[in-house]
Amino acid sequence: MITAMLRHPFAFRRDHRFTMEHASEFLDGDLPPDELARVEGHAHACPMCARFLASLRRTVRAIGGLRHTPAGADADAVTEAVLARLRAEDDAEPGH
Amino acid sequence: MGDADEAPTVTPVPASEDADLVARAKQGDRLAFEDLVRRYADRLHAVVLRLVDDRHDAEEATQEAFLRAWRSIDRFKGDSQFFTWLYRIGVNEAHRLTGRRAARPAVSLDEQDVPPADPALGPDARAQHDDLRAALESAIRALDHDYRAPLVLRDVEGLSTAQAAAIMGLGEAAFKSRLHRARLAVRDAVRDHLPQEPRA
Repeated sequence: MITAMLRHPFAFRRDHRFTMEHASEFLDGDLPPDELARVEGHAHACPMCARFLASLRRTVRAIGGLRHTPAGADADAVTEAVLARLRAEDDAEPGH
Repeated sequence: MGDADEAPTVTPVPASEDADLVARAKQGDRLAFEDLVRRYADRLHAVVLRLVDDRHDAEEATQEAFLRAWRSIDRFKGDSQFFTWLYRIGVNEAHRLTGRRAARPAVSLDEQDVPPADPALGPDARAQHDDLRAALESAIRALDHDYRAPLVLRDVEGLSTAQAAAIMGLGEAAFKSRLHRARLAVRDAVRDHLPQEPRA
């Protein structure tokens, strides 16, 4: 880190900010190849950004873990309630 | 180092499978629309539940979204996928409800049990899982709607950036900006609960 920072301090700082601002796009694979390489190159030289990317990655992965255990009510009951309201409304006003 | 393959996106049902049902529903075939309800009610409810903080509001918003969709199915032009259009109605309905209830303290979700951890985990791992899960739920609830909805659609539901941005009615750049800010806020809130990265 110190070597890269000392050799090109302004470029290092710019890449640092770029990495912080585009970390989500990096993790989502949404960066074009040149910008992807820029973030990867900086993360290799900057332990702070490497840790930042790793913790953001773990966060996104943990959030995704909520998908399979939705909090709340019985899905069948929700579907039946929607169907009941739909039928009641449609019977009251045929042809919606 | 990019992780595109680690965050698979989810398409609820191929668009082609909806097209016939939508076409029949447009002709007034309620049974076709009922099939769309069966296809999407649970997922829409899961999204809305994370946006409104209240079980009863979530059920109301889900029902209202489907009723609105049924009433206005004639106006669905088919230039987006049906579920994108439906989810947009649901997200707007959730936003409308939370605005209406803003003055009322939301407690219902706090009363819910935290879904159990994998029983194969040891006691320490289970406790860690439950702590992380509770911290995540709390951090997501603390986000404003404008940031919470992108995170729920993209990261919890696993929709693609394009799909989630379309549901929010945002350009992709604006959507990505909100998503990033939401992720940073959640990361800051849960960082002490995150599992450590295995050392290489």
